[in-house]
Amino acid sequence: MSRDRELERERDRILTSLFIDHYDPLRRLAYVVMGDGPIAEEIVMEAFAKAMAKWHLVSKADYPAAYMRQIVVNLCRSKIRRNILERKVGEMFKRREEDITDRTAEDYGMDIDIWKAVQSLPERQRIVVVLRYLEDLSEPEIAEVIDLPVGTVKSQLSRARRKLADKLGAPVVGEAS
Amino acid sequence: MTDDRLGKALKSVGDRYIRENPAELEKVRARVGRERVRRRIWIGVGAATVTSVAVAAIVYVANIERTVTNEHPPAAWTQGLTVDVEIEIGTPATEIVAAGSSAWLATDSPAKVIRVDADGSIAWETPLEGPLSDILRGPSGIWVSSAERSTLVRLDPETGDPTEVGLGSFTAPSRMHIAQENARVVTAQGVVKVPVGAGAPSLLYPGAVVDVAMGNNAFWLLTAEGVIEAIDPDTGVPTLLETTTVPAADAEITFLREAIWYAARGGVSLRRIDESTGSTTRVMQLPGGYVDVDADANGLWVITESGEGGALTELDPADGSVMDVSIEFDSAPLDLSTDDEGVWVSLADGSIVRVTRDR
Repeated sequence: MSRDRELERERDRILTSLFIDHYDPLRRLAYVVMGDGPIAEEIVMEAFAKAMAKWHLVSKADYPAAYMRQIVVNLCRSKIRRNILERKVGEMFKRREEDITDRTAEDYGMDIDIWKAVQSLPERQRIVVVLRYLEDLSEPEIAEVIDLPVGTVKSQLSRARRKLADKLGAPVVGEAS
Repeated sequence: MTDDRLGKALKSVGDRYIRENPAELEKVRARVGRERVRRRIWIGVGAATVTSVAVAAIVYVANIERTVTNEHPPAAWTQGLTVDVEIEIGTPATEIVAAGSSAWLATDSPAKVIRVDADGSIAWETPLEGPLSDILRGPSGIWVSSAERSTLVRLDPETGDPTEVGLGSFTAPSRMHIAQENARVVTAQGVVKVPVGAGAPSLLYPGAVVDVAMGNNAFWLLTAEGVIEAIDPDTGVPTLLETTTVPAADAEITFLREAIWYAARGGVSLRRIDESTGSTTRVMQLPGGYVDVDADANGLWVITESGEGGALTELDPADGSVMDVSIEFDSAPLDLSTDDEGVWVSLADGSIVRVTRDR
């Protein structure tokens, strides 16, 4: 009994710590990938619910925070792939663009162009770009998160950079060199 | 467009969303509750698990507010730490170093070094030619550098008597570190080893360096190209085959518990980089814009700024959790330094505080 309670307490302690320290960063990640706040919130809550359900896996992870990020990214991919949600996301994007155009240029400055260009990338390229430039992960780390070979990550990143350069009319430094 | 601009743009959009949409306590509570019910139906979660989920939810909810509303943390958030010394020195101390039960401060207007003690007294003041770049405590005294004047001065820690230290042909000393009795000083030409006794300064590492840290018998450098390297503190020979590239060079590094801790100036996160692999193993979100970090035997102390003020936060290096968010300052914190029992923080309003743990 006391051993079980100890395990429960330990689980609660770690989950609480994860929640305190990573709820907002995970929300930010999901928001930048999905382009929609409510969907991002749902994804992160679902990720924590999954973490509760699969505690035996989370507890064995070397870095539970990285495991949570992996769950969030997988949920983002899953959401994007579902046709119904794809349509919803599309509607949300329209609403988001309207929101943005309602704001003053000073609020967003040049960020709008980049934001729109990133959002227009295909799912996998968008996730790779967000993990690289928002989360500052290396290519091997990205490969681990999305469970793809490093070579695929590199090629996806390269394609994404080219597309961004085409859309924004300037080469991305990492690609040019 | 640069990689840096792309990263800044995405972070700007993401951070703006988080700022403008703080997590709502009731909404999160409802979602946790819905999730609990859903699991009960579909998976048949037993009563014990449901109870533990509820406990977890309550614990979450009890802590969410302090996580997502940094502007208005509850009073309970300040438990565990106490301000035991507050000293008005009348001018902001831009750099501070502490040891034993004293702290030495470098001020710019006017340029001087001041020793303050844990009993709240000012032991001495020594005027110097400024502006002053860095101050540190070594076995042979207090070292003060001025990059603009290319001077390096060593002060007697007891009396404040200054002795100028020759730099030879090296110029613009900025950051410093003491290792094995000799100072390592970042200059315009690279990192220079400055012997305390006889002998001329010698170039240890050629190249532009932003910050330095000492740990695990290696001297860690953050270069202007945004690369972290480790060299032997005496010979300058690299101690690791691999180097680590970080997102920005306008940053600071410190060493604690087999890891480099990296933070970009003005950023809102602190990154743990494994010393042996060079990979980022954790990114900790901070409650405000990063100002400075220091470590003692128990944890990482970080000062952050938010609006006109800021906060001192203690982080657990083991799991990245917030151990104590101690003091919210009305004035912006400028620098911090840990001693054996506490943390000294200098504030923009010209005061110095020393914070100690209750436990």
